[in-house]
Amino acid sequence: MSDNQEKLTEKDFKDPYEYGFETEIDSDFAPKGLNEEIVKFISNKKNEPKWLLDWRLAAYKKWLTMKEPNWSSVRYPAIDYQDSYYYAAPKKTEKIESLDDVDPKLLETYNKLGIPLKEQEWLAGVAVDAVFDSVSVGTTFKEKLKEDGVIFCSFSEAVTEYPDLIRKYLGTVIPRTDNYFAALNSAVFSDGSFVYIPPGVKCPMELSTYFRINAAGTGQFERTLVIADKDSYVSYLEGCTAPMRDEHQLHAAVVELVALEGAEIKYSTVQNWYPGDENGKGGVYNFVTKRGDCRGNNSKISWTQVETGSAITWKYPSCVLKGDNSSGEFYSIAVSNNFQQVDSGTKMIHLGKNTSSRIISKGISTGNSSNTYRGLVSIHPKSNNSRNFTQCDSLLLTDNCSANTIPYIQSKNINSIVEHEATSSKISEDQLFYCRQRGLNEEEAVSLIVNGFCKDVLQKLPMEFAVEAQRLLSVSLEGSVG
Amino acid sequence: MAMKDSIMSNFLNLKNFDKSFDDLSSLSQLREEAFLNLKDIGIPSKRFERWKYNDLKNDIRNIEFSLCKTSIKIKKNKLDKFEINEIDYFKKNKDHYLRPLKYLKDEGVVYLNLSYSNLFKVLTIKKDLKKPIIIDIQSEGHGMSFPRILININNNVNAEIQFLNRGGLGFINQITEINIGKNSNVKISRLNESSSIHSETFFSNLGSNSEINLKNLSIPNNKSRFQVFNSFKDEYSFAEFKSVSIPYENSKDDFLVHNNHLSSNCKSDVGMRSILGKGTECSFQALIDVENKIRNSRADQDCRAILLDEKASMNAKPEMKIYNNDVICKHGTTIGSLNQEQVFYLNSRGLNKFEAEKILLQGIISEYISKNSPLINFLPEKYK
Amino acid sequence: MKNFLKIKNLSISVEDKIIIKDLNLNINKGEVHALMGPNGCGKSTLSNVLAGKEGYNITNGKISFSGENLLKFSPDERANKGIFLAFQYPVEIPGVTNINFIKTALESNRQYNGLDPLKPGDFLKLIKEKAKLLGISDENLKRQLNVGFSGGEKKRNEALQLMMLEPLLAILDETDSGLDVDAFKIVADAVNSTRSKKNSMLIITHYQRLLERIQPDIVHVFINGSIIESGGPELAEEIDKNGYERFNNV
Repeated sequence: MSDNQEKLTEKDFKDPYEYGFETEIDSDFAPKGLNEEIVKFISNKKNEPKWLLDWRLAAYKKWLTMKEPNWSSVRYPAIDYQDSYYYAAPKKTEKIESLDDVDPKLLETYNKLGIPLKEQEWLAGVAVDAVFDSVSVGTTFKEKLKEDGVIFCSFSEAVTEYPDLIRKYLGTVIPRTDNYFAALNSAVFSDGSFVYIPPGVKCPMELSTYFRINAAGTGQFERTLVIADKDSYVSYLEGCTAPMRDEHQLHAAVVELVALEGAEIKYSTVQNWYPGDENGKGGVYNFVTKRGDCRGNNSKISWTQVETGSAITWKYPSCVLKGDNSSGEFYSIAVSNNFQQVDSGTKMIHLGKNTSSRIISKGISTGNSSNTYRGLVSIHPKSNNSRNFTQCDSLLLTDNCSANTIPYIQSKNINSIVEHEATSSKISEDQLFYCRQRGLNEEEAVSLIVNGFCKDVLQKLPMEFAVEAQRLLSVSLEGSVG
Repeated sequence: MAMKDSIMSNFLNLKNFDKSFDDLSSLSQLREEAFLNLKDIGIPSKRFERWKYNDLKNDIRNIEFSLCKTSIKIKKNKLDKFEINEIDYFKKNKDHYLRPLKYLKDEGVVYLNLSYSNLFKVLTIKKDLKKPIIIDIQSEGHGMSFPRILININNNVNAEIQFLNRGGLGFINQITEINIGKNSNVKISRLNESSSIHSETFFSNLGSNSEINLKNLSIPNNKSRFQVFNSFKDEYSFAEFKSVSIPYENSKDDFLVHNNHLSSNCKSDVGMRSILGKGTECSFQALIDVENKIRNSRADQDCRAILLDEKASMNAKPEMKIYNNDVICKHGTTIGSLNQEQVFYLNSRGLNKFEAEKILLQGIISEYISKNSPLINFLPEKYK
Repeated sequence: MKNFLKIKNLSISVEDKIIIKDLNLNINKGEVHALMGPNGCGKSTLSNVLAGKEGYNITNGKISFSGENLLKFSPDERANKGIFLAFQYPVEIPGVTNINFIKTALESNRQYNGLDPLKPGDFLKLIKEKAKLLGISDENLKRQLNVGFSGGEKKRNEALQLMMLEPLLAILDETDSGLDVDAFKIVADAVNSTRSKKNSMLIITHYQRLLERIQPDIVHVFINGSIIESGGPELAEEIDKNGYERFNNV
């Protein structure tokens, strides 16, 4: 870059992390630390049936025997699992009939986040399940969805209202023993969303959920389960924000998707957890296990994500393509700035015949960050006539950032085709100069080019998210050129 | 006693093994150092990331612990003059003995060779070669052998070298090193038609403005592994690796190519073509590593695997580790069967299934092994 | 400002090699100047330096535009002040559509000059109008900027941008190269239609044919980094007949 250009500084823009604030509300805390008593405490607070408590305890016992994985490229100071609160809920947790009963301070929080539960026009028909720390607060549009038989409620509620469904599907996509963080989550999960779409129903609106980590030191352990019964369709949006913190906060969520015969699930995420400051201090650790099971023939699951936050991101939304003719898709934009670390990607496991998968991953690194794509495409010997196409591109904006691409490609079937392409590059001087000659300043030019780079993925996002995603992209790249 | 256990415990009894080990006593301290590291790290198994597709520990489990007869023959043209040394070279230049460790500190097969090697050939080439040198490595019978070849190429030299790896029924573990001086160009044609469990680690060290073009043809009849580490120790050099793998029925061929861009303005290009028949398996791990502060690097990888049988399989891991932004790097990997549209087109012009297959595969092979390549004579009959 | 663009004693070198020597050039408002010379003598260097591209060493001289010292402004500031360079080899930008790019550039320009952004309907109307003049289909407007475009298509895009951005000084760098006879007429006439008393043009070319359709007021002969001779349009005709030989020994 030129020497005589003044470097754009954060002062030139509004507060980089506009969602950085904290609501003062009394919370009901479990004592610090993790042991069997805490697990029982959590289960008890939620009035869970014994089978679920036993399920949690078995997971906890298994977790004790497991070791934290160390094969990824992310580095972080050792986590003291005893130095955290595993349960926090606002004091008023009796059944909330209407939004008028919700704590006004809470509502103010949601207004700041831009999700006014009361303003239907603003939401334009999107049902919102707002999770405040560990307890779901309000759910709008529940009644309307009920007409179609769609169940969209908090996980805790589903345990009491629809225990058979939970019992049938919980842990069938990601077993408790799957990995260290899944086991931890299975033991202490706080809450999350539950979605069930009955056979033949195309969910009439996009379902959305917002998360926040509020109280200091509480790791959040969401558990989400989405079941699309035969020939149904649902589009689910997940968007998160978190307040500023100095200690790292662990976020080890588990998301299980089940698509039965002919069903389709679209799962979109815009993730903006606090990434740490310019010196790499603070920030959320996002260690998530997400998996979709295309259980039935002709089913389809697609993951679309825009990840700009978290100090450390470690997640591989994956698809297991069991059903014949099933398909899995993964579209991702992962931005890393300052000292963020990202080790993310996907796994597409082809088991059934005629299965197809498509992966488009765009990584943008800047600052001193490290951005790794790790993927697995595996075609089983019996998965005849399957197809995969993968495109991973990395854009490096500064000379101290890094981009790694580590794809594992395995094919054991003669009639299947796997195609993988990857590029790593920077924005060319010529492209920048061209944009500048047309009047765009350096940041505008970079923003335009980056948007073009990510276009294939942005197009896959539902409309409302696409707008937020583009804004997020430019906010996360602020001050990054040079 | 099983090979693996023997290797790990019999180091001190080498004298009983073969008289040649007596001769190596002046290097015993260095060899012991290597052996201690071997004990630490162990023989590579699936648990090592680099060896996940080819578990050596398992493969050599039942091999007899004895030496097999191995020779390294060097054929050259009368007009070409260059130095050939053996163990005497390392006795005189002791600091060169453990040099591979500079590039690789955690590789079991390297420590294995450095501990047990008893067969050395060192070539020093100071002038352009008029004709290619042929290095013929042949083994007979069961047992194991640890050949070590070092080639020093001075500045401003053009050289062409052919490596022929043949024979053997046991376990062959080879280290090959090539140091390329400034402005020098080396063309290498390598053949692997070994029937042993074969593992070769190849190091190239490129001086400024130098170039290495390595073409490989492997037709292994057992389990083979070829790992290449190219180090760009100076600017403006280029490393090319193009390999065709056509393993015999039920054989395995394993490749690892690591291009370490330690200097600016360097270029690397890696290509792999695998033709996989009944019961065969091939793995291709390619790593492009561009360090921080290294400017203007270019790296390409391209892998294509054709599965011809239901029991064939391919594993690819084309990896990129990029630590700064002045890089243009791309790769592509395709795994599948022959393009059916192309097959149909040839059918419609009167060619039957086998003829069509043959032409298409010949076309793929000829991308890397041209009519003029010395390797052309070693292709299996059906692809000639 | 009578003197719109004023270049005084400009010398430019690239890596110790002198490309432009003591160049003097004044372009007034409303004037069209042509810069003609054989290949490789620095014409593109001049246009790049005017646009603010890096990599050039200005060893001597001044450039002022609208009374301001142009050299102290960044490329985008120069663009917003009204300088437009139609590139000889326009670059590709994947993922960014033609229409989106022009809209962004136009908005940036309007914002800098204190104007409100165009309403979407007005913008669409305007761009379709100009596109039609240039024979650019709606389809092409939606394509990714210059990706996979032929040379001629790229030049048409440059002309479209010129017509949409309405610069005060348009620098056309070999705009006629790569265009077939029909496309050439369309582009030349469209560009010519933007001519007014309020703006100026600097046409860089080594052929005379563009100058037949966009009549220059002054023609400069540019050889080995300097302007050897200046004259009226008849100078261009002379070059067309006799080439540059006469000037080579000056």
